[in-house]
Amino acid sequence: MDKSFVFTTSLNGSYKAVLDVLQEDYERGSPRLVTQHTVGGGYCGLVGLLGDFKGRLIVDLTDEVISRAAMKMFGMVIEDVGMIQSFASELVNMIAGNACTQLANGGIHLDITPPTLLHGTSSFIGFHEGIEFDVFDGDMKLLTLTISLEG
Amino acid sequence: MARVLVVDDAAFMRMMLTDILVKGGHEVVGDAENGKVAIESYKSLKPDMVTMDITMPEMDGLEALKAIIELDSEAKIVMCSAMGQQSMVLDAVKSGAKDFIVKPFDKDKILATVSKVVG
Repeated sequence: MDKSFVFTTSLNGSYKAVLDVLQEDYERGSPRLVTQHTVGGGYCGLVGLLGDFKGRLIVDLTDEVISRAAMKMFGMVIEDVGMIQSFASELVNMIAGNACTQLANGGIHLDITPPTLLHGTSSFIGFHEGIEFDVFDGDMKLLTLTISLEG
Repeated sequence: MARVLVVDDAAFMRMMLTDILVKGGHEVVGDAENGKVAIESYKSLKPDMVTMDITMPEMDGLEALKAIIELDSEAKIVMCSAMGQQSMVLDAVKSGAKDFIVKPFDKDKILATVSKVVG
């Protein structure tokens, strides 16, 4: 499968998925081609992608976007740390699942693994190539989404 | 009122679905965090219906759906997943799912689907 087609479809599909899941019209920053990714210190969800290509979808979530999403979807503030972690993980699952639906509409068929949630600072290095973008509300960064290709 | 088994690997989603169902007048008779536990819970609890996530560790929701339908061809199972592509929905419906709800969902959609499926 042509790499530029994969990147373009992944970029558009995953951004649409973020908007659909968060149910807000947030802006997308400029996309970047990357070969590593550093997690910023908040919650980060990692989902395996299998199918027409093999890779990973990585979503760095700020506390702000977790709070906003919980309020938008369920009208509630989550205070329990365990429930915040469970919701953050589910939020990443929703973004990944919706991204797969968008990509399927574009001709790329993928399945996903259950998300792994990380907290703190870490680096993903050595993946073949990836595309990454930030999502903003005005000047406030809400999340960073990376799709990496393996091999 | 329906007796419902809630299956989702995320504790938060099990809690929210339970809250929506109970406030809607239904009884949540049990919950399960993966497909394997769901099958055992279905055998012991014999619920009126099941809400079933798809992407879960140990055993995914599609496998669990097929296993439960083998045990009970009349089982009423509603898939509740972030994966909403046509092929996934078709696979679930062909395997015996009564409906398919794409996450994120709202409580009206959940309650309307339960009413439709349970009757």
